[in-house]
Amino acid sequence: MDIKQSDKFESGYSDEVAIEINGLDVYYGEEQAIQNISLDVLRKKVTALIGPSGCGKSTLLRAINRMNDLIDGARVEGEIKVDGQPVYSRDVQVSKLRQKVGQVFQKPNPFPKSIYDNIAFGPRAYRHQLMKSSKQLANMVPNFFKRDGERSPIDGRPMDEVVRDSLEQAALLEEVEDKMHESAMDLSGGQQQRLCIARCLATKPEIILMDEPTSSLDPISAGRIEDLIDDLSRDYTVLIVTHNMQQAARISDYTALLWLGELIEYGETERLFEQPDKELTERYITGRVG
Amino acid sequence: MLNKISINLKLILGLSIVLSLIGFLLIFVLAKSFNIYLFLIAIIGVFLGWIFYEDETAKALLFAASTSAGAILLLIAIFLFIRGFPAFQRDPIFFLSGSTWNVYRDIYSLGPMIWGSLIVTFGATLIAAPMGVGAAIYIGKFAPEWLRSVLKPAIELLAGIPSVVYGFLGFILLNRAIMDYFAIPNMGQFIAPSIILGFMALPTITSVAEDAIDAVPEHLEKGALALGVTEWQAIKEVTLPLASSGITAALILGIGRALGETMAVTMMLGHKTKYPSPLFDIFEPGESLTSLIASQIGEASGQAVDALMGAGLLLFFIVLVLSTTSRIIQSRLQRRFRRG
Amino acid sequence: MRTDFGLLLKRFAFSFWFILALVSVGVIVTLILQPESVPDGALRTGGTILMVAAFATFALNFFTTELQPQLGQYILSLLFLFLAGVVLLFFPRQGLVLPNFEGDITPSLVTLSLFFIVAIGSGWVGFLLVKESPALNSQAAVKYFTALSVLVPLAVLAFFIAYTVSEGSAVISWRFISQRSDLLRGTVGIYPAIMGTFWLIIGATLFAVPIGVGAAVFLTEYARRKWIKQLVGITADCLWSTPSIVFGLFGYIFLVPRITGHSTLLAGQIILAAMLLPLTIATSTEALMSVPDEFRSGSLALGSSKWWTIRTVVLPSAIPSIVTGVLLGIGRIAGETAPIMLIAVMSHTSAPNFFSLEAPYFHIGPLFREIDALPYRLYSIYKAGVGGSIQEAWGTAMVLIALVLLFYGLGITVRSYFRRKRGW
Repeated sequence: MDIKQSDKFESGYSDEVAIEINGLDVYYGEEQAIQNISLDVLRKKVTALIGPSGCGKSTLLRAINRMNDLIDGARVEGEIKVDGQPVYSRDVQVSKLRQKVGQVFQKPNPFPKSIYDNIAFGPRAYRHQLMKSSKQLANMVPNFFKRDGERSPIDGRPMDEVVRDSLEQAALLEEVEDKMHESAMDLSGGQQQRLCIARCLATKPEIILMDEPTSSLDPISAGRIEDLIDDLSRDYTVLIVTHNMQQAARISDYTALLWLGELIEYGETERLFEQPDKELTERYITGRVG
Repeated sequence: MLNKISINLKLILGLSIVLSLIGFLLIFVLAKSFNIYLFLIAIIGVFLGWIFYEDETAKALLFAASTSAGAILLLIAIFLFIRGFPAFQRDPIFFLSGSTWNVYRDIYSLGPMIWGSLIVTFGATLIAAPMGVGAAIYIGKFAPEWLRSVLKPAIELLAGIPSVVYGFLGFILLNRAIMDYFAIPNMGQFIAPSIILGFMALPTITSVAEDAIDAVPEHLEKGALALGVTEWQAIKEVTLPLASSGITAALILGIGRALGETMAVTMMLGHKTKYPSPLFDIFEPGESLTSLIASQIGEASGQAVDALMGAGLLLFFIVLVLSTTSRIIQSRLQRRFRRG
Repeated sequence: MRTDFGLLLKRFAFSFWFILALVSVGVIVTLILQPESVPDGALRTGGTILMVAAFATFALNFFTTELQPQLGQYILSLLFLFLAGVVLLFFPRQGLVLPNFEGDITPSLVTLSLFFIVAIGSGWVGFLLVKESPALNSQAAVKYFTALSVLVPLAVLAFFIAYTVSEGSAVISWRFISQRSDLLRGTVGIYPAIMGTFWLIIGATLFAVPIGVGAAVFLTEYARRKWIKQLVGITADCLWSTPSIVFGLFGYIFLVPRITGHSTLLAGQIILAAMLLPLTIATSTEALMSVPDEFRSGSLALGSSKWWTIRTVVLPSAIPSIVTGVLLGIGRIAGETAPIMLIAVMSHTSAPNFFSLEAPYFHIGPLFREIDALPYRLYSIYKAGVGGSIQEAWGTAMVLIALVLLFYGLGITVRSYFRRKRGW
């Protein structure tokens, strides 16, 4: 079975390619979690990564925004380019990369702060970076003296507006409008997950990575998140890991099947689910293996 | 280009902070003077670093903080060694095992005090060990959740009462009571501080032993319970053997605590720097290492100071060994369960 | 249906012992309230009954049960009771008295404690007899004895606190707390000692907390290698268990010659900080490790740096636990005497005065002078001979205990408040 290569799209697409992965290997210590994966993720489309648990879906996701750096013993070989910029090169600022490539986690993880502060967290962190790199003493003037006038350093809009916009995009504004300054930990699980999405949107990312965002939620909340992903795909590139094939079929434009750290098949979702090229794919989506 | 310059600036700033700080500390430790200029350079450097390179400065400061405990321990060891070693150098065997401590004849030997420390510590362990472990078993296994949350801080409070207060209460209540009851002519018998020290060392044993019991994974005990044995049989056959090394660590730590306790012993012992006769007579007044130092350092001069420093060094060394042993046992226990 | 005589007998024996235990508790209460009203004869009779009963139960149980009784337990309980009986018979009121310097005679302690032993012993035997299987019996016995080993220290603690409070409350007054002792004017007060302890605590906390929390942050967030964590853990442990008198000696030979050459407040603060440091490191490390990793990865994934994550997410979540740990630690070092005895204190000095209403408003001079401190005050009264100022000693002891209780109470309140409030 030839599963090494060549599910890449031909080079005519390059404008449309948001993430370009070439010959990626990821090791955890001695163990190889990802073997020679190459794939292109298209701009403003929803791409789903499916496969049995432990097949390297989440590892692949974490490799893109370099969250693997945080794991002891993790080693990445090969090339990943986001917008044509290699991710694993020396002069890449990891914080800038992560601001551009947002991530939503499996378990909702709002900070133990108010809803407002949760959303404003990303822009404020960005300001911290900015201060450092441009060494502007003027920026040292603490912003809390003029809370109303606080502006997002990313696009210069007032922070209040950024927070409201992000919440609205994440379809959460109505529910939390009057308790903006209460603790985010009091929200329900689904609301927390939408808050995490809103938090991620506040940094103006281009790409959003989602690591099984609905797996810890009840079906109704999960449905709302799926609707939200659909809306988001108009403006953002979404790469979503899921082990739920129905979900992948419902929400994604493209689907990639991973198996034991290797890429088995990648293509348009409809085609992949209806006429898979590979036998393994067919067996997986019909539930005979996995 | 700009990048390179900024890196060099960072390097220069960092080096100047580190060098001035090291210089300051060296001058303070060796030349006994407080060099305000180096201190100011370091402070200003840190301030500038904080403005321009907050992340790196923070990391460096945190690293410096993490070396503090080791630095203090090292300083204690070095300085105690410098001041205490001469006493050993003269005649180590006599110093450790002779039988005379006489300030007027200028003869100093720690024998009686070492023996006294042993007696007091042994007595305290007799009380603290069974009771401490028993309390740990009760709190860890038998007590319901609400009672546990009350008992744990209550037992800890036992360690919080200052040792002078224990000493004072023991002196007023226990010493006199023992003297009256057993019709002993003088106060300050070994038995009184033994009893009080038992209660003072107990919380240490209880909390460490309870941690050890808690560390045993619950499913192991549940497995035994599922076979139909009683709760106590499960604890006895499964939990306690697995926690036994942790309980040993707790006992060692408790012994170290009792050995190093100062004020209560000083206030309750009779300060007689001779061996009791017969050797095991716990109703005789005596002296321990800690109480010797506490009661004599204020007035001592000349060789007596050296001898007292020697006693301090000995004490420090013994407790160091005890607590290191205990810690190693504990971490081995933890590793075992994390793996398993 | 066959009657189980063994079980019946056991139940009978248990109720017998239960009643005896109740009676002995009653006697204890009577003895406490009206020590003179119980005649010696009653005690002797009680002792006899106990002895006989002990033998009788032993015989009954040994011969009548189908289930093998656990021999060792019976023999132990028997010895216990036998001892109690003998002592009761022969020394009903051996004069163990508690002198409290006013000639009061408290009830005979030995008799009291013997009755206590009897009550416990009988209770134990009772427990041994309720259950049918030896395994359950031994479980009950173990439960009882482990509970007892919690209760006894707590009873001692309660007794000490109650005794100190009952002796000290007669002395405590606003004057005692707010003025200084003066032989010429005949006033008695511990204000300088209170202020001295206050400034010692403040200084020690200011030195130890930033360094200790910093060390913990480095260990949990930055240190990658395991041996660094282990090394710092071991050194902190060693520092924590180093005897307090050794800290005193160290301050005496290291700090004192490097500061002014005589005892100073600053030296005391630094040494107490060194004692507080390991506890701060340990509790902060624990607090930081209990902050969920999701917070960290959530923050990092938004593009913030490691330090920013620590500053804005990790530390704020850990602060309540850190505060609790520090408060408990302060409660412990507030009463330390041995380390400050040589390096910071002098009897009958006045309270350190850092603030003034005139020009500089703040003086650092008092840092370099001797102070008085509560625990040292108590020790110096003891050293000078208790007879004269016993009242002052009890007052000081009570203030010390109150201080410790205050810090413990604060710490536990903070802990329970935030445990309820936090959402993970």
